[in-house]
This record gives sequence, C-alpha cells and structure tokens, in this order.
Amino acid sequence: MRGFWPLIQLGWLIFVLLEGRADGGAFQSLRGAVFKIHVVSNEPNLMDPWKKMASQQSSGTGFYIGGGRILTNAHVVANAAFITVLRDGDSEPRPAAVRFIGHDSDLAVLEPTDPKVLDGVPALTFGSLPKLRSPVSTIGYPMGGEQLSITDGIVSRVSYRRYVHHGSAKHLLVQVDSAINPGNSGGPVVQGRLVVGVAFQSFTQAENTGYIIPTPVIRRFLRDIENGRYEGHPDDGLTTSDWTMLNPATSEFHELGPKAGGIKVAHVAPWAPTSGLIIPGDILLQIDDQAIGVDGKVSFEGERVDFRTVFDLKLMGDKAKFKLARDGKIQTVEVPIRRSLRHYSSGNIYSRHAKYFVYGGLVFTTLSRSLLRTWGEKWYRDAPLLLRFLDGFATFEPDFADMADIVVLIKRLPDAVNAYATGNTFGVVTAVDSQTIKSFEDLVSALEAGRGEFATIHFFGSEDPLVLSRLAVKERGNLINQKYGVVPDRWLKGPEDDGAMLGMEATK
Amino acid sequence: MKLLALCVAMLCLLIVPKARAETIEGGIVRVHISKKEVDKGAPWQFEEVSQQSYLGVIMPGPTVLTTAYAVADAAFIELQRFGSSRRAEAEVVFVDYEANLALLKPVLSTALAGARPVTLGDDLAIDESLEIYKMRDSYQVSRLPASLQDVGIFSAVTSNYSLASYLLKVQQSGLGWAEPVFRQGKLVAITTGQDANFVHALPSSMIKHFMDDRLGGVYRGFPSIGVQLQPLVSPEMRRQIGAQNLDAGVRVAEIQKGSSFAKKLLPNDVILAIDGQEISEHGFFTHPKWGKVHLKYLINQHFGGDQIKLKILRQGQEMTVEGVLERFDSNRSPVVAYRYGQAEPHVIFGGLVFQELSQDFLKQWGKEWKDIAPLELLFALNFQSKPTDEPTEKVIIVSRVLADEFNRGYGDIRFQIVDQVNGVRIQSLAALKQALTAPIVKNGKLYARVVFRLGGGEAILGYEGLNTAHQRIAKTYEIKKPESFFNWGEASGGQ
Repeated sequence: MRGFWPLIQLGWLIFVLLEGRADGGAFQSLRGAVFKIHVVSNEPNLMDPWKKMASQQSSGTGFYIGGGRILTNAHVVANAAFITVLRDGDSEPRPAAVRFIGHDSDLAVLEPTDPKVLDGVPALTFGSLPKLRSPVSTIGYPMGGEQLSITDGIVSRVSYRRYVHHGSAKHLLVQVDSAINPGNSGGPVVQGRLVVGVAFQSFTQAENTGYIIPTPVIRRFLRDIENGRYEGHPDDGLTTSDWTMLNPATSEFHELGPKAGGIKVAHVAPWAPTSGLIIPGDILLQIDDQAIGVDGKVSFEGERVDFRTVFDLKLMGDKAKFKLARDGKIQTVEVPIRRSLRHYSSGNIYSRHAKYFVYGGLVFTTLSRSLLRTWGEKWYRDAPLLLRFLDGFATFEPDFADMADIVVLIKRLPDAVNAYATGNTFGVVTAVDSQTIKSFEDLVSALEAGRGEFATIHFFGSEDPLVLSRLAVKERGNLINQKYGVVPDRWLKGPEDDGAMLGMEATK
Repeated sequence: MKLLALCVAMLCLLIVPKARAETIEGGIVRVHISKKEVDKGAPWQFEEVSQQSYLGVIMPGPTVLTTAYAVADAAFIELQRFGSSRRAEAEVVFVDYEANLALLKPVLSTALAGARPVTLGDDLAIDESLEIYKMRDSYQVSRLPASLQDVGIFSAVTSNYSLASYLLKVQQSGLGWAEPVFRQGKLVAITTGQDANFVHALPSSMIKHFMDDRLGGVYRGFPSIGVQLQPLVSPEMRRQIGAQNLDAGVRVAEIQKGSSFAKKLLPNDVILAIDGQEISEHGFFTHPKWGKVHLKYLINQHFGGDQIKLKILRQGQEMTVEGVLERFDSNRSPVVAYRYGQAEPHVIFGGLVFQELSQDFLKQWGKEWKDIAPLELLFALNFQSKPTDEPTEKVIIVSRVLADEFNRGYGDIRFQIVDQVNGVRIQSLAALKQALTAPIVKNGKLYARVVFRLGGGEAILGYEGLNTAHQRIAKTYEIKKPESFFNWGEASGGQ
C-alpha cells in the first residue's frame, strides 16, 4: 500500500528503434517477426462469481522467438476466449492458443493452431539489459492506426518495481522516455537487431514514460517454461528496514563497523522459502557474493537495483546464498528456492472464476486484488476497511498470517432459508460452528460436513454470527441456486488447474 | 362591553407572546470562543487560534449552559447578553464531554446581574411545534419554527457515548451551534449539530440529568451497561439459544471487560426487560411520548452508580439480574477518543515522537479520516480497541521522527504502532518511560530497542549523546517544553 503508484497497462505494442538507428535492413528483418494479436476476452465476474463479464475485444503485439512460439504480454491474452495472430504484411489473422502464461511476470507464449503460419518467419534474438541513456526502439501496433509503428526512446531508469498486471509482484523493469500506448503491449523493444525488452506498461501521471520488461526477466521466463510448466517467480517474503544500518549506534549494537553496509530484516513471512533460515534482526550483507548497501541495493549489470532482483530472477530448485550478520557473527545461509506455501497474496485473479461457494444463498469467495477493484478506481479508500487492511497486512497480523485463503461473504441471495441471516456482508469468516477456517476448503467442508442442527458462521471482529438451519439449506439449497442461476454451486479450483489458459483444458 | 372585553383580550393575546419572547431573549447569551487546539502532528505546540460563536442559555447561579463541543479546547471565552454590545470574560465551571454539555460562569459575577434563568420544559411529543432561537446580531433574534420529527440514539459529537437526541425538522441551514429550542416559553432542547435532513438537539430530560447531577455534590454522570447487544430476529438464532418461545428481547453478544455485569451476564443471554420496561427483538421499548425508542435511552436516564434490574432469559429459563451501572468513559478504550483542553501526552526519545493513538489524532486526515488515515491505525481503532481489564492500556505509536544525526537511518518512520521497548510490552506512555530507564546493555554500552508491530521492524538507538541530541532537536524544531523529552540524565544519572 505504501508508495502506491497508479500505472496503466498498455494492451499493445510499441516499437522503438534507436541504437544504430536500426538501419533499414535491420528493421526489415525485425518487422517480419512482429504479429498483431487480436483477443476476445471473458473476464470473471467477481461479485456474481458463477458468471463472466461481457466479453471484450482488445489487441496487442507479439513477436516470434523461434520454436513455433510467439512471445507477448500475459495481460494481452489474459482471460482470452479466442485469439488470432496477424503477421506484419499478411492479410489473414490465424487462430492461436496460449501455451504458457506468467501472470506475475506479465509474459505469455502463444502457439498458432497451424504451425505452418510460422514457416519462414525469422526468429528474433535477445540482447542484454540495455544501458542507461542508450537508445531503444519500440515496435508494435499502438492505437490510432492499422500499420506497424516504431517509436524511438532513451533508457532513463532501471529499477525493481510493481508489475501492474499482477497487482503486487515486483520485478526488474526498465523505464524509457518514449510513450508506450495501448496496443504496444507485448511488442519487442530493440537495440540494433537484438530484442532488449517487451513493452508492457506506462505511467499515467507522467508523460513520455514507458516501461519494458527487460531481458533478464524474459530469459528467466523462457528458462522457467523449459520443463513444460511455468512455476513463476519466487517470493522472498522479507520485509526490510532500509537505511537503518546508517545509524552508528545500530551498527555498533550489531557489532558491525560503520562501513559494513547491509540491510536489516524486519519480518520474514512464515510461508516464504526464507522462513526459518533468515530471521528478523539479521543484517543481510551479501546475496550471491554481491554486497548489499544500506539502501538495500546491489550492483546488477552495472546498475544499482534492489537486492531482491537477484532473488527474484531465480528458478525453483535454485539456491540463494546470503551472507548475513546474526548475534555478532557473520555467517552464510543458503536458501533453497521453492514455491511459497499457500497464503493470502495480494494480486489479481486470472482463473476462469474466482473461488466461490454458495451455501443456503450465502455467497462466499476469497479476497483478492480483483475483488477489491470491484469498488472502483479508488478501491484503496472505498473498499471495506478490513479487506483493504488485510490486502496489505495479512502477512503481519498473526490471526491471518497462516490463512491459505481469506474467506469473504460477498452477498446473500434472498430466500426463506436466509431471511434472517443478514449482515456481515464483506465480513471475513473465522469459524463455522467451532471449527476455525483457514482456507476455502475448510469453509466448504465445515458447512457441508458439519453435523449440528445449525451452521453458525462467525466473522472477524463481529459478535453477531449468522445462523442457518442445515436441514433447510439441504431442502432448499438447489432451489435457491436454480432461482438465481448459480451453476455450478461452487468453484474450488485455482488458476493452475481450472483451465483458465486457452487451449489447456482443466484435467480435474 | 362585550366588544371591549374582546378587544382587550385580543390585545393581550398580541402582547403576551411578545412579552414572553422578550423574556426568552433575556435568557439567551452569545458565547464567543477562542479555540487553541493541540497540533496532533507536533504535540508540543498549538494550531492557529480560531474564533467561533455559539449560543448559551442562562441557568440558575447564574451560569450559562452550552454544549461541551462549544467550549472544547477554549483558550478564552466571552459572554454577550442579548441587547448589549458588552462582552464579559467567562470560565468553564463544569463540562461533561460524554453528554456534550457545559456550564460557564462570568469571571465577574455582576456580568449576569438581573438575568432571569430560563425554565426547563418537559420532553416533547412527536410532531409538537417549537422554536429554535438563532441570534442574528446583538439586537435581533430569529425564531425559526420547527417540529419534532423523531427521537434517535446517537453518539455525542464530543464522545463515543450514545445519547438520546431529537431530530428536528426545520427549513434552515447553518444550525447546530448550541441554539436553544423553546416551546411555550420553556427550554426544551439545545441543538448539537445538523445533517442533511435534521437538526439534532439534546432533549430537556438529558439537560435536566446534567443539571440535577451538578446539584448533588458528586457528579455521577451518564452510565453504560458495558454490554454489546444484538437484535434477535433470526428464528434460527433463537432456537439455538433456547429463546424460540418468545418474540421479544435482545441477545447479549459480548460483555466488555471491566463491566459490572461481567460475571452476571453471559453471551447469548436474552434481555427481556430493563427496569420493568419490556424490550423488543430490535432492542426498543415503548416510550409514552415518543413511541419506540432504543433501550439505550433507559440507560441514559440513570446516573453512574445506579442499580438496575434486568429480566433475562438464559437457556430457556427466565431470571432477574441486578447490577450497578458505571459512568461511561470514552477514553477507557486502548484508542483514546478525545483529549479536549488537555495537553497531548507525548515523549520524545532521540527524535522519535511517541504518542497515544486517539480519534483526535486520526482526525488530522480531515473529514474523510475514516477512509484515508493510515490503514494500520484505522484497524487498531476499529478492531483492537475494545476496553480491557486495564483502563490505562493504550495504543502507543511513533508518529514521526524529528530527523537528527542521532537518529540517522530512522527518519522514514511514520505512524508505526509500538509493540515493545527494551523487551517490555508497551501499553502506555508511563510504561514507555519506565522501559526507557532500563536500557539494554551490550558490550558495556547502553541501547534502546523499539520494536514495532505489523512488520515494522525495530529501531535501535544509543543512550550516549542522548541529552545533547535532545538539546539540538529542541533548538532545531523549536520545542520549548523540556518535559516533551525523555529525561535520561536525571532519571538514571546516565552519561
């Protein structure tokens, strides 16, 4: 929540050619690899979670990277119902499917249904992280015309910031001084003949700022999918206190010299791979032999960026090596990189439906950034206080840190069964009868498997539980669902297994 | 003769109301207030002084009755009688912020000489007409016709206490500045505010409560039962708690810690009657004049220390419970409600400014403070501020850091809730000061370790050079009160 900057996504691609002025020959060979992507998408409806929103059409850009694969942004093809790709210079759009999608890194790989579409298409190759002040060109199909567009710009910043599509995940990104507009998203950003990034988001509060996903993040994505599935970026789960090692008394207390540098750990999330290995109060001095400054930054390909960049770019199964000071002793700690345990992670939902369960007309779902955004652009002030608070602080509040899901009652579908089970709308379920609820599965099983005459649903901070008669719910539950068109009565799958990726049907 | 008599009678009719109006006007004073609020963001100083004008009515003594809101944070008070341009300095005799009422008296007792106190009327009936008196200038009063629309229970403007309030219908805006309300020459209410639809006003029974209480020597105040009640409309809930054979009574949801009913009531008891008045499933009783009114009004009518009798249903069994009502105190919660007219308590240690979290503090964020103040603080107010067994237990925050070389590296700390200091859990500024006198000793040196909640980490500062740093900070930030700073030298002879 702190330092919240509104960013907007660009649904499209920009092409910027600068270095070496992307001579005519280079450009001609580059443009042959660029595709315009048309998408009909079907977003989940968060408040009536058994429904979809009205379908929308949008477009973006992609480019051929060899092996029958077109790279684009995840947000270009998220919730896609139908995708076509149109190569620059061709006349016929061809159907395509999502092969891999990384909502955290906002990258996706498409495969045309007919692989012959790619015959003779030159694959683009990747360069390195572009240098500050170096020229880049963005290629793509921004709004305002049909033809391919090229925009030149200069690299103005390399930083570790929020990727808007995910909602809260931060990764390395590069800021350029040329505008990136809707339609540019997914397009290649090049220096000479090499791709140095993928255009993906812009900053609405300032003109002439565009953001690109740089090659370290793209290469990580491509390595991640090598084994046939995308596992995503690791989450270090570390909250640190920047600058505090500047304080002479503090560094003396930790028995470190005034020039030792390092960053102090304030909190370690219990679900993170670092849990139990790094503890609050540790001073992180190095990651993978790179010195961490008192500002928390390390030197990375010539730029100073957040030390998390190094951790963030690792794959599952890798190791991160920390040198740290604990109790006056310098020690080395190896953190095996693994997926985080299930926990509340603030982010948007990209599954076919949000998880939901309708019991006696009471509609339960899980908290997510997507749900909060149903309160509109200013959700961070208009959404209910408890939900806003948990979005930012669940990890730090002992009552919630170990919850796999935060279960929210979002509405009541009125019926005789629930006529007096009113109130607690947008409340967070803490228990059913005497059973503590720590996940969505807990809720479903406590409601359905409970034996008591009544199901008593308790909410956080409320002494006014809702009470339903189990018999009445059993008798009328199906009727209520029929009356309100709730089909099916539940959706318990997550984005990995619910077939949200077009062309990858759910197997469960 | 008859005609003459009629003429005389008509003349009387014309004259009498006028005479009555003049009497009323003689009982009204303007109350001019200069307000000096503590700057919550820099509690060692005050906000800019502001001037506000309210009304008051003359009561026996003579004293002047107005709202507590009017005199809150007053630095200087003047009274101005109707028809006079003279201003007389006044002082607060007594104020009850829970009830939002205050009594003033002139510094020179002659200032109200000859004034006739107003008479308190009875409670109004619904739809009865009345007049709100508003002073346009020193010589002119507007009498605005109004009627009683409804009676509700609302938090007083100056506290968290739920108090009966009139909702008056009137075609005029800009009211609510303690204007007196009269009916047939008697004071029946004092306005406390105005919303989109109604002017809110304290009924005469509440004013009488306050005035009579003053006469008794020891002020007992407005009480509360210390129990959270919930409507009991759900038949499923009724069956679950054994109250299915009745369609009246409210459910005891929670008994606050420290309530005198703590050992007498249990969660899921059903309160059927208070003082013999039957309570509906929504928590209402039937008032002879107002109809359905929330049971909190029955509590309002009592005084702190009164005994009340409850008829309850516990697991299907009717029984009687008696207990003592205690005077309500908005500041008994971990997050303090208000601190009018008092210095804002704070402690500065090495530039870290420690304060008690209060609703007043959160109001720094303006009208929409409930939406835009920092989430951690709003969460503490809304979900972690139930009264505890220890009334002194408060939420302590570091509100800001007065940047100095001494606290280098910690300048970004804002609005962090303090968990521990030097290994001791901190729930009051007194406990903080105590904990700061017991430094952590490491390698022969002394340190203070302040641990924050919600992933805020910790701040570690030394004691070496602390007093010098305090002198420097006092100078830089113009903090003129030495008592603002934690005093290390005297407390422990350090350095």
